[in-house]
Amino acid sequence: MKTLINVLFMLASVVPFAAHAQFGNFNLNKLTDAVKKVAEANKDITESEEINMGDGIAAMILGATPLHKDANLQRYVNRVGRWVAMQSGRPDLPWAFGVLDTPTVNAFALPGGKVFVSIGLIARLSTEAELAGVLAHEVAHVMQRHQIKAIQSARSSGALQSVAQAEASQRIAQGRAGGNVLTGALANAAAAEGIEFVKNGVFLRPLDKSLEFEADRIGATLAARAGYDPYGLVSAIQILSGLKGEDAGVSLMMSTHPTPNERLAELEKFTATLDKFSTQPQLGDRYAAVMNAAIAAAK
Amino acid sequence: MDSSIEVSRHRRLFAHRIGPAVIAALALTGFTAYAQESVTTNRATELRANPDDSALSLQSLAPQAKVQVIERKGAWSKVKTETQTGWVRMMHLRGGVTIEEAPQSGSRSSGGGFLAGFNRMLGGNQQTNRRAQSATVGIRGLSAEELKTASPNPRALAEMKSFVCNQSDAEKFAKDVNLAKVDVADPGEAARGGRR
Repeated sequence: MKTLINVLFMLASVVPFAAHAQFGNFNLNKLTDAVKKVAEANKDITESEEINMGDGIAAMILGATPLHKDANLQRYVNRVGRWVAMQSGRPDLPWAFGVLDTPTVNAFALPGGKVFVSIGLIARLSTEAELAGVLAHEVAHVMQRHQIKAIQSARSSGALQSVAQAEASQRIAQGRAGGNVLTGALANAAAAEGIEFVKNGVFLRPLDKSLEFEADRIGATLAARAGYDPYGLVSAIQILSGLKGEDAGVSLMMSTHPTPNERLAELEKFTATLDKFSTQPQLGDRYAAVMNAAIAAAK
Repeated sequence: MDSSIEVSRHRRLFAHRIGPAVIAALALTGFTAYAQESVTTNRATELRANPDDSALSLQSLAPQAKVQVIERKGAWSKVKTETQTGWVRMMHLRGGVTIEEAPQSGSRSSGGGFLAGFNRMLGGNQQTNRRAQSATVGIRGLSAEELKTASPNPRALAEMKSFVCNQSDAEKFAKDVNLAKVDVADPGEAARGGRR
């Protein structure tokens, strides 16, 4: 029913455009097609589509950058991340955290609960509370469906010129997979759309600043709920504030986020809450043990 | 792994001078060394004797005063000025790492992390090591162009999923170090006149 209403609503907005374009030679098929596309773009994205879309995006990221080889490190980051995610409003998503083997400094969340963090960032942290803060910021993006909102808005804005129609984008993705047929987690339209969103650069567009500030605020809250010192996130952002934005390894992160100083200024508004839980543990020892083991294992 | 590597305890080693053997030793001890970066105050603030707003003020710091961070405790950073050591609110500081050596136990956060130890893994050679603080030479992956032109890697995705942790594992992991759930209201909702 909701879809039908959407279609009717969209029809009203499309007719003048179509009538103008096709004046004197009204093409009902084209109009119906356009309406379908707009309706598709505005359709709600279900949780399973969100998860599949995240799979497609994750497969692309892993196509560009390998996972870090240390299995213990991967498991450790998953445990910290899952514990933090259990404090979010979406504890039952198939949360998966991956450490990327790149000196680049970055972390990002994908729809459906996949989160990546670079070893370049992990190596700069000193405590589990800092890692928890970084992961909590990403979990907050997923919890608030920030990327889904961005994807929906991109779908709508580009809907009339180049609709990322599910079947079409799946065909394109199949072609770009080097002739390999996408199977398993990627054999569905939502995953194909996820792949397309990386290919066409939409994924790399920054989110609205206010959403980043919200992810910081909720992230600090989630870390505190998980029992960590919420200043871990503040400390991690402080570390970013010492990096030079023009350096290649930081530029992608800097271009997709407000400056660290802006983020700190926003978080400072919540000093009262942060302070209240600032005596909670930082867990530097456990973090150091995992890092030293990873460094030793890599020799 | 080579466990016979001699453990060296050179202090104040700068990353670009670190040879492979020393890196290995650092890896074993968690002993790391960094070049200096400046941390400055972003407003007039007090250097206090303890990490507490009501603690004795040792010194008034002007905006843009340079300090060196030694450790962090909650909202506070322990810093050295030219003449004294004391505590400054972390929010009153900007800029990354100043420490020369990370704590061996890692029990305090000073922001240096394990960069030197990971340096070789991060594709470090003499040139990259010289810029270890920003480790940016020879970046692979994760640039906008590399992402756009990548081919999806379903095998790596499956591997990533093999490391996931279920909820009961996560609970045990938290319990191991006495982390427990804490009731914390979202301060944003409180600010909007919502739940408190």
